[in-house]
Amino acid sequence: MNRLINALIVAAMVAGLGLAYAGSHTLRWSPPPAPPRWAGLTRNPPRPAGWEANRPADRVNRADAARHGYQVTPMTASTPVSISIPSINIRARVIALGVTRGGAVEVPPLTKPFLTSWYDKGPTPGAPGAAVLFGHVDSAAVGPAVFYNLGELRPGDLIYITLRDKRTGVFRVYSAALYQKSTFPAEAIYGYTSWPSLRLVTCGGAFDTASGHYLGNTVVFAQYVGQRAPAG
Amino acid sequence: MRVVTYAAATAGLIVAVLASGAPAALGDQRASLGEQAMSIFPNPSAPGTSTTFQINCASQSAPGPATSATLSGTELGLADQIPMQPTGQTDVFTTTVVLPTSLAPGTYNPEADCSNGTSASTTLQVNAVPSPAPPTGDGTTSTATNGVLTDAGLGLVGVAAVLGGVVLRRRRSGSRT
Repeated sequence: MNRLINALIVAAMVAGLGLAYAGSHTLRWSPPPAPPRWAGLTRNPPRPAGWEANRPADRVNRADAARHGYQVTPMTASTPVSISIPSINIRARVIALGVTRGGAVEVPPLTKPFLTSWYDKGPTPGAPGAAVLFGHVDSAAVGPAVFYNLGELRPGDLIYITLRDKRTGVFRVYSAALYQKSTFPAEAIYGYTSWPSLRLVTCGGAFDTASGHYLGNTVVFAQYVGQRAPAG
Repeated sequence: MRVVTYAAATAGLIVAVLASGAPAALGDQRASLGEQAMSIFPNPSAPGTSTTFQINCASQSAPGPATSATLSGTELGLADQIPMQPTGQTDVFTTTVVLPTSLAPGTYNPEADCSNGTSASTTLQVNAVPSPAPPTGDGTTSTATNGVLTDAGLGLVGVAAVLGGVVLRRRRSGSRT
């Protein structure tokens, strides 16, 4: 009897130590999912197909829009207030932010991990040009943040952005890529596009504990499909 | 009856104007200004962005329609004389250039000259493209270890230690009596 109790206590201690060791050597969450291609490895990141000359995609969009009864004309400029991406369960508020004194784009504070920001020096979503939205991938307060699953978006997925004037712009993903921060393709992201387009940006790639930053950015490129009037 | 006709005509006109669509900025400006004028699209633009300049050379004082036009690009860090292409519309010429990536953000006043002696200029706002990629995460999901598992393990060790202590005490006191 005594032996059995001894054995049980020793077993519990060994199991406990094992668990503690495993816990301190495994991640509580997994690193953010990455798009299929790591574009940052090439010196000149490829320009996503259709980022400027978007005539063929334009035709596709029109067929699409007609099917859903969307109005295809570009949207009147109005500040975005919310974003919804049903395929990865994102619903978030959007705030307008500009640039910091250092010339970097401003993003919501890490204490507001479920907030996204729209770069207000660029066009509003649905207007000609590229509208750019940022969101955090993770934050100490909550773990995975609003754009954690951005890397799972694939061409064809739909993004809905509602503007202050209550109209909703519908966008279709046509490319997703991971870029090294050192070769961040600013021109492909902010550059003017004749047809309205949308870019979603978050952090990705390996995390550099020394600098406290991710080494890359996940970027999703989407094109305007059409707009729908406020429901009801 | 007449009122109805007028109303219909007006409505038709409004629809036509509304339907003119996206690059309306160019068309509207051109239509409203019968005289020499320049328009730029997009405006504001940014370094590295392809930007279209269009000039209307028509002028009351000019001897006649222009046969060519040039854009002076020095101010924008481009070639001095950039030839503009005819558009098919009399007196209207256009050219599309990529603004140099080294162009400083600010306000510019590019000018274009027509062969009929007229010239036009307008204000171009160049906004900076934010350069550094933004920090959008603190690495929690890539670095945070499984605290729950660790706590559970340490808890188990603690419970086992307490139990062990209790058992040892009982055995000792049991052996004395």
